[in-house]
Amino acid sequence: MARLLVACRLLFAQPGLGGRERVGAQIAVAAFAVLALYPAVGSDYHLAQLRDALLLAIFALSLDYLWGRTRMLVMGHALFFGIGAYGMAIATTRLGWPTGGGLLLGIAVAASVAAAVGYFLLYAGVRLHFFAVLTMAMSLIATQIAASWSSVTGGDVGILGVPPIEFSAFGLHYSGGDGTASYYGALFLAFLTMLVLWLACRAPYGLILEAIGSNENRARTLGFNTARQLLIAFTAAAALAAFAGALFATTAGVVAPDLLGTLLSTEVMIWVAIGGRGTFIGPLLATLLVHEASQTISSLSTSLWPLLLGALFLLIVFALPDGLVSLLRRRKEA
Amino acid sequence: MGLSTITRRRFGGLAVGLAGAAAFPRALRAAEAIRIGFLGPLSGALAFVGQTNQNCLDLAVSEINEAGGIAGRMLEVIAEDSQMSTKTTLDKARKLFQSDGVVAVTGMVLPSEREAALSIAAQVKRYVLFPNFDEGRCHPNLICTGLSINQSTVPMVRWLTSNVGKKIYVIASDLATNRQIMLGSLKAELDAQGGTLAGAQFFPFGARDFGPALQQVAAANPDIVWHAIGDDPITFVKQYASFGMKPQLVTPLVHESIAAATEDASVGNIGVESSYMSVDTEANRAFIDAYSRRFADFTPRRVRGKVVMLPHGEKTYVAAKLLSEAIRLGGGTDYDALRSGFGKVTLAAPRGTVKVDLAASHLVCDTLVGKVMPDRGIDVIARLGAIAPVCTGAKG
Repeated sequence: MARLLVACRLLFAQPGLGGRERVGAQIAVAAFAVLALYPAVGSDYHLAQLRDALLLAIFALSLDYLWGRTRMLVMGHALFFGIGAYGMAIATTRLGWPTGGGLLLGIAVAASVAAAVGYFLLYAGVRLHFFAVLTMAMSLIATQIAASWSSVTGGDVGILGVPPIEFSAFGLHYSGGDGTASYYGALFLAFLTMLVLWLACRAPYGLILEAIGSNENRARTLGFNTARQLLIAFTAAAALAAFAGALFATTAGVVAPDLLGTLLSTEVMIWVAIGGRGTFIGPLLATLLVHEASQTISSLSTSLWPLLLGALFLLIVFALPDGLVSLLRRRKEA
Repeated sequence: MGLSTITRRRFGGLAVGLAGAAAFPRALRAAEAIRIGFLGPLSGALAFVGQTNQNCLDLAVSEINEAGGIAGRMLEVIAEDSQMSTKTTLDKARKLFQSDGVVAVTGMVLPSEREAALSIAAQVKRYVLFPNFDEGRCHPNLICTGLSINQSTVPMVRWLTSNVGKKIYVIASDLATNRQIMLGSLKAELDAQGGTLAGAQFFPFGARDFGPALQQVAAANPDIVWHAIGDDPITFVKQYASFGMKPQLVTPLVHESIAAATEDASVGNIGVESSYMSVDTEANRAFIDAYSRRFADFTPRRVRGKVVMLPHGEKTYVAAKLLSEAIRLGGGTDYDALRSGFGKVTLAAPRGTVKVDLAASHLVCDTLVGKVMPDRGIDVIARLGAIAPVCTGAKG
């Protein structure tokens, strides 16, 4: 036990704040302040949209942790988001559990699936695009299971009537059914997730992941059990994605098979890529911006929106291959 | 006008205006358009169905507006693409109801789209008008303008056992509604009529090779094959014909568009629906003619000289007409007014006279048996009467 504590202290020891990090932290604090004041001016509709975007940002952060640090791309990441959502829906509507139990069920199932599949793939040396494509296949299989196993998943219709999260603590009552309260809940959790991931990854632990990401053979030669580190990261990312999915299910009220599918998996990669891989604040803000932009653009024209949105993404990838965050970096270097 | 530009004089004008608006709300509201939301798949595999629905909604709305609107108020359509995605449907339903202030949404094709729109509609107390046949879903905020299972499958099985044969084999898409509700209702009615279920096979979406299944069907030697391959009925019907299958093919997925796309493979197929292009009513002739004139460039496909129409389109058209009548009869656009309006409506729809059964969230209208003719038109060969809808799917 004592050894574990010492190891943790070494693994997560915090270095001093670098110049670039300071800019990132300032942006994060400013963004949090703006978002915290938003309910004063935003309409109910925009508040609900932004709340969903914040929950999706947690999902994007989970992919950024994995893809940004270890360079391990997961093309079917919505699989875990969907498992979280279904776990919550099945626990609350089928089993009569409280939402807390649903949250744990979703996370536990997603983490177990990731651990089981990841164990066989990662220890067998499956990496890069092979790994990415296999996760995509898993998400397709899961979509089909969700559409077919109707007694549990509700089939193609999905599961309806997922209740909002409600709890009381320290004499305060939180009700997810209330627009403003659920917005602040999502805002708090999204920034908390970002803070935890940022603190973990700027410590030596993040350097280990970075080392594996840039050259796994070298990291293994240095004595790191790279397969185990990747498996832990993959499982943690899956659990975090499931956490986001379970929360999303409580605000949406319904879950359906496409929450496990290719479209959402693609979107989350776009958010992370546009924000800037491995920067955490980038993907978080990019999720909010891209989500809002796709809502607005797809309402402009029902026939032209895929073209407009596609052109915008291409433009960003061409102009800013390292994401929005590179804008700052370039200005600082210039 | 930004806050800083409000001078005292302007503020005075504004205050007078607001007071006037408060004093004459009725007069002010008469000028506003009533908004109706379109939310259906306009991209992806079901884009053709979604666009047909949108065309039919536009047609119905312009007909209503040309006739003077509803008590002087015009109707306006706000259209959104559901992208066949649950998340997008939730987002867009929220936008339509909360930001655009539509009184109802219609145009959905998939049950998952219906549920997503319904979950938002229930929160804001508005209506979803679902223009498709379904498993018999009931909800206080829902009206389905297609047939429920007990209006389609059940009477059809009864008709088949006395007119075609008593041994049925089922081949369907692997969906919850097919596995549980459709097959369950079909088997129960078949048992009641002294028929037998020769077998049932379910295929996941995307399945394209039905050869092995068709060989098993041939070995079972049924009188009838009941098919509900929802994602690609065209491939199924073509393979069925190319295997030279003897049993009569029967399906709830029958329309002129499939008949035209499968060339001769569909000829002789029997279907159960609430409407076909050939239904002989004055309203239907006017509807098909107006659609053919207005959307002549939409698709090159023609059946009996008219632009091909999907049954979903007629259901969307009926939804819009029902809504406008309900607003007129109920005297308002809020939920309670609409509900009382829907309860009073009798509409001369293209398919015939329809009424709303509020308790069962469906319409009372005739169930029609159609047969695909060599010219790829569909003739109505039997009318099974108006059957009261029953809730067989999820409630509330």
